[in-house]
Amino acid sequence: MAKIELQEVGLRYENNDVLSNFSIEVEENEFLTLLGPSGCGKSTTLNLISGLLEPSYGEILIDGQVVNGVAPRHRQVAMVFQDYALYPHMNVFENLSFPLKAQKLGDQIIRSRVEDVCQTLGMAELTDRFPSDLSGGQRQRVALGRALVRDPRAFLMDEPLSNLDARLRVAMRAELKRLHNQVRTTIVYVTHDQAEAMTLSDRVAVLWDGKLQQIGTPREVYERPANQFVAGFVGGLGINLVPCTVESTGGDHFLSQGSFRIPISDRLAKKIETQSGREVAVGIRPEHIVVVEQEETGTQGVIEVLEYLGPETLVHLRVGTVPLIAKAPAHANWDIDTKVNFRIDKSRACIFSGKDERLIAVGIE
Amino acid sequence: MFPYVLILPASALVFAVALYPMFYAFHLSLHESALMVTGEFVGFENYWRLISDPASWWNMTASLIFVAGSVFLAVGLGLALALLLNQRIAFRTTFRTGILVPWVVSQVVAAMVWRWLLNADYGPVSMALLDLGLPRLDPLGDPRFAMAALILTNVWRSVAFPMILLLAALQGIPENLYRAARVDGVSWFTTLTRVTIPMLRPTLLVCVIVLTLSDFNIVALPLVLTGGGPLDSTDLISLRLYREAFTYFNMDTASAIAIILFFVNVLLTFAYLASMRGRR
Amino acid sequence: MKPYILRQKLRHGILFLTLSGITVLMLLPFIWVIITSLKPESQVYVFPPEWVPSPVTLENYQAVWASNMPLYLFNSTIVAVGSIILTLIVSIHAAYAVSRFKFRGMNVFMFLLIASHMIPGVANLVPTYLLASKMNLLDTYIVLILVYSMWQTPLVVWLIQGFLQNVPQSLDKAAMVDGYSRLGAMYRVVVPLSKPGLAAAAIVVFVYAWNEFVIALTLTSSDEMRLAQVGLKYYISQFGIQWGELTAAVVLSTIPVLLLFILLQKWFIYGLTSGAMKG
Repeated sequence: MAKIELQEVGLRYENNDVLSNFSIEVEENEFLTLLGPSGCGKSTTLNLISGLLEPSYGEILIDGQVVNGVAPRHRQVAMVFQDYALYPHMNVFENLSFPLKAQKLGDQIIRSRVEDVCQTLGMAELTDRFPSDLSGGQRQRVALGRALVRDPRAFLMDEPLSNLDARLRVAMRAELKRLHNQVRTTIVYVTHDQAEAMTLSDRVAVLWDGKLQQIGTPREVYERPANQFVAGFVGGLGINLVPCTVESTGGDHFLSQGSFRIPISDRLAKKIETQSGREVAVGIRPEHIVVVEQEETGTQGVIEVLEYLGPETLVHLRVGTVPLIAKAPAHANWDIDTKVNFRIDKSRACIFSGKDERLIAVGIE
Repeated sequence: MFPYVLILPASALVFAVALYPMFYAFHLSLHESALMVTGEFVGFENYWRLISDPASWWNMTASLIFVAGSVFLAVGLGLALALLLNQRIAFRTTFRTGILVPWVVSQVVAAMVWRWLLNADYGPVSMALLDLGLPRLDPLGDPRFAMAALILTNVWRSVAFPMILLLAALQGIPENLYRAARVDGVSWFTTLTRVTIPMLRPTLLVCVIVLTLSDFNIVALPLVLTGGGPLDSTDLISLRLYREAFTYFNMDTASAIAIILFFVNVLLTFAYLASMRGRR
Repeated sequence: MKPYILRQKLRHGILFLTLSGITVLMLLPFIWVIITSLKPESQVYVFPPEWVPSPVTLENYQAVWASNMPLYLFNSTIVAVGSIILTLIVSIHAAYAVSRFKFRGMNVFMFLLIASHMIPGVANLVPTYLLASKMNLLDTYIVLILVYSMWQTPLVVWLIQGFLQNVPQSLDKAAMVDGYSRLGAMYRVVVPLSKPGLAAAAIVVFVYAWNEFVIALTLTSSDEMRLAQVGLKYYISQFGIQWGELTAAVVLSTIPVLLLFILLQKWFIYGLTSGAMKG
């Protein structure tokens, strides 16, 4: 299994930077996810690795060899497409054997390899069917099978689960994970679904606007987002971003916006000042805000909207001019327009620079 | 590089068999030439000769009458047929197939068929006229009726084209528009003139322009049906071009007419493209 | 019966009768020709005309079959099939380029196609004739196939291109990653998937080539090279018209297109209208 490197790769198209100065190393047998909103360049990256696109600059290496200019068919990578790209005029067997035929393998070998893959994926009885007769999940399986059958150096997967309905997606997600554990191979996986990225990956690379924003383990990306964009994109409920000013009265420092005030230490105030001046954004995830109705501690806010989601309830609060979303247990049952107290888990709050939205610190002390 | 290789054969074909000959025709039209020999350069003389010749003005007029009559009738009847066929009715496909048959046969066959049908001595039309107490009539031999017969034959042959396009367009009109009109209590006639026809306008335009182009350049049908006669009553400009070239071998005059026809076509095509652009 | 149901039934009845009448009227000229073709010589020229031939005879068809008409039909078939092959080969590649690539000069190419469509057939005939004669191509299959293919190529490129747009590009990509070249992907995946479009295009070309008359008339001269439509014209001579044989020849020469039309109506209509609709 192969190691894939992109060195300072970029793609310009009609004077737009689709991808700029992108460097990444995918380790052998690693499951790496490219995460980002549509149009961020993640599928482009995949096409660059597969050779369907050529970069405007930079080098792409597979197993230490530069593959720029090498045709897709000679790169020995397999790809799974969002729409599966099953050949509609071929049945499952023919679909699976198509890449093997390209290698001019004998019929015997082709048959046994296709049958092996069908066994692995549990679709031995489907071989005579045509794609139009398959369910979404079965098509997905065939698409995976067509990639597996080749024994490629790496798998490239372009939003392979996004055409499935929600429940099937979760099931296939688990299956993919199991498959990766089983065959242990390099996978570059593209998705816009942060939950997929978090659950599947060894590492996640977050892309936006053709640029790499952050790369790290799911935990790193979630807990220490490199900037506001990553913070908002990762984590199912997003993040509350509160623009604040550092205020100092006497020896005390606060992050404040109107009646929203959080005291901070000397040290943090200094750190902010050197990196960002006075303007910052405080990022607090909804799951790190606890509404404490009874006690008189914490900050006070007004409940504006309650969204009952089943497993939990989202509480839309307002503190002065600041809107905040908090996650509360499903049984939470407050009235609209009532005042409640809430507590912020300050150790997990993030502080972003007001200048360039980069992370300054995690945890308010 | 690759896409250029792919389009090369098509480009070569179109250049060699369409564009280059057209340049050559322009070249010919500026020279005095007979049959195979290109003579000396005469500038626009061939054009002047045509313009000062009353016969060519009649050719143009005849073409205009023919085109206007054919297109108006074909589109009008095509619309009527499309509206009829757009109803839920038994054997709808059978009717459609039957009406489409004349569209499939060649112009030569259409001309032959109508020559025989309109035959004054042995044809059923002649008999029908007699049965109605009208005098025996030879439409193809009578300068007063030959143009009408030509137009009739052409409409018979081409009416299915606007019909099929309009039928497709009708089926593309959202059913909800009609539901809304019915709920609003609009009469069917008002629905037709205020909803259906405005929605069909782009397609009607396409029909008009495509038919105008093809009718303007028509040769086979008039050549076999009337041969331009009697007494030049159906001598269309396209027919004149054909005759100048391949009966009299006046290649210079023929080329000049060809260039004139070409520009008429260009104008019509631009009108067509402009109307398509307006549609988007 | 409730009045509104009655009204509806009445409306349907009238509509049905109207459409039946129109259909019969449209077919009547052709029916008349078929009837005549089945009449013996003596019955063709009588007035008032008889609508039922008695006895029904195939002597006209036998006469046509014994003439050179079968040869003309054969020539027409060769030219039509040749035109289909050439047009499709040329057009598939161009259509693939147009549907899959954005390249400099693509608009020029499309303009060239449209421009060639603007050229009136008759107008092109004079120079084509002269050029063909200079190159000694007159009276050959090749010149007819070339000219017919050229006239159909713009339309067919457009038609196939529209079809290729509906073949997802991910299929080409998948085939390329699976180990095939671009052309390999095109031949193995894209072309098989656009079979309906190719069929529609083939029908368009066939009908055009089969029915075309003026080009065939001017670019061929010998009897051996004559096409069916031109052959029909020669039944009209200065000695008058043999209507019995002519009608039989008309029927014979129309059967191929008619059969094709009835069997493949859907693709036929699609092919012949799509060019106009997409403009």
